[in-house]
Amino acid sequence: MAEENRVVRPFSAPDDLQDWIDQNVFLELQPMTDGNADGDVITVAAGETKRLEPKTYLTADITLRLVPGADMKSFTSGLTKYAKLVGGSKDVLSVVLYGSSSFLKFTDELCHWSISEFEKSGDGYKIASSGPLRPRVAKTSHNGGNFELAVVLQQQLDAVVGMPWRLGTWIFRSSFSLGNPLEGFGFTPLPLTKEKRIEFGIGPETFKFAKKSDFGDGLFESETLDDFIEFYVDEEILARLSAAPRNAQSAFIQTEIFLSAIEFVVLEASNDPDLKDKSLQELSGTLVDKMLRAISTERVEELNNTLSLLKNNPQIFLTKYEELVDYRTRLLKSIGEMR
Amino acid sequence: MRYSTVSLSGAALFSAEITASEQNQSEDYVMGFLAHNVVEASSPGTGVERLLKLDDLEAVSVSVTTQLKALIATPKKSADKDKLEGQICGLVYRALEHVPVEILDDPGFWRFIGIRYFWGFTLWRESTALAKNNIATYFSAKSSSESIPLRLYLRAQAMKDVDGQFPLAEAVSEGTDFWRSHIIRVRTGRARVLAQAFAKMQGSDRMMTDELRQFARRLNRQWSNVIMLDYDEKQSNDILKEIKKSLK
Repeated sequence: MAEENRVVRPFSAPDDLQDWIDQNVFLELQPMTDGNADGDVITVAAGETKRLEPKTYLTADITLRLVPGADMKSFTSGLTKYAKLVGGSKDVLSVVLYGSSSFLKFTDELCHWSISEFEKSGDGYKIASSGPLRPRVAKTSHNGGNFELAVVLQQQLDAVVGMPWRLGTWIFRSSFSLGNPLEGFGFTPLPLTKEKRIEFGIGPETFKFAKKSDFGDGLFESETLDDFIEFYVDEEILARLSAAPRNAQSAFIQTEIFLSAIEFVVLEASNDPDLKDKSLQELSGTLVDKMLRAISTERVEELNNTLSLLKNNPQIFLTKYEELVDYRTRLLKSIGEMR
Repeated sequence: MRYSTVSLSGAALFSAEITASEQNQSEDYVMGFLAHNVVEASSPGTGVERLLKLDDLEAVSVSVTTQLKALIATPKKSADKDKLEGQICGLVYRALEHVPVEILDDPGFWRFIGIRYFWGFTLWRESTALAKNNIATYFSAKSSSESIPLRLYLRAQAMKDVDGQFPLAEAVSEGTDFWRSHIIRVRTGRARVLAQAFAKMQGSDRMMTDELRQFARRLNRQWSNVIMLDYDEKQSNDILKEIKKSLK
């Protein structure tokens, strides 16, 4: 069995502070028309993805909010205590809000607070207003965007075992995602050529082959299928699929390819000892998170149940994907065309 | 703002037809195809009346076509095709600077400009894929790192320095794998100063494929715990040197 080294969280930090962010911070979207509120407020909890119609995405007022009655003081005093423990001063930690797009490959810093400044931001922070002066992440309606609130180490400290020390280390973080209802997984099959068959040691009658990307992210860091796997399809079949993408047999084969990629990821996840400890929060914005959301509603309880299914009963998890893509119907249509 | 797009199935059809016959590999054919397959879209956040102008991109396209003709006329056995990407990515970025993000985020827009302005470049750059009937990957814009104009834009975005120039976009010779796998596709590409330090390092002290992949894997893993977006030049160089030392 192949072995590899992995970076794990090399220090501990108080769980209650992470819990405080998860439970008390949320994103609020007020749909707008011609500068006036138009429609119900939409809220996005930590770790959640809300899928929005483009018009709403592009025009809603977006604000980072605290739940009413949230005890900000307890959070900032906990942060101050931890900052002093780590670096002797509360200035070693900052709270930073980032906005990113996985399609346009940017991450922008939207706001940067000292602990004291964050304590005074109890009324919320307006990220975007209706109009042209929105940050980039509030304009990516086709592929969605991710907002991340993180507590970050602002200084490079002397290395101490069990403590954060490297500049930029995040101590706590929560993310809030906005997506397109049709947002995909980012999946591009690659041609299985003669050269690749030799490289992988597979024969001429093999139709498809999946492997972990040599240079991609780890499973729990990947944002799309393309980040994690290289999925090869016989070059001639791939060319024929491209030439006739809409006939029933092509559609079925494409479905088969997609399901195989999902099966590969599920198998990798099942064999990964880290999976059992992963929470929705930790998986937020990742490929695995997208895979859960594709077959679940946005309710946190159902998402957690779907995550449990992935952890404990991957075979049933996979059947949800067959349901999702109407596998049996596509198969029947494909057989129909073959007659 | 109104702008042109091509659907995913349109791009697949274009790829199939341009592969099927060399006669289709002409400006006349491409314009004829677009006449029937362009879908006009509008972005609600940017004013619906105005039509997006792409005159600067057209000028870049003309210049690239001229350079391509010279390259094709005097083919070299081991031509560094990636080099031209490094030379033109800054021009493409500047030509698209006025395009609203709402439109840049639309894969259909990238499919349109990939076909309208970069079809010849794509066929030349990805001639191996063309020969194997797999050119669709580069016109589909399903993936940011495969669409030719988008990957040019993203390479320039990562390499744009404080003066708005792109001096490191050509720093790595024969760098197809470097740019695609170790800059554009991964988070390092979002941290400009770090990405530029990495390009400079690879340009001056080249790691070969296996070492580069090991190095990039370790750098990618740093992102699991560390947000390196704000690293300055010294901090970037320090962590790159540290990772390089750890490989020995």
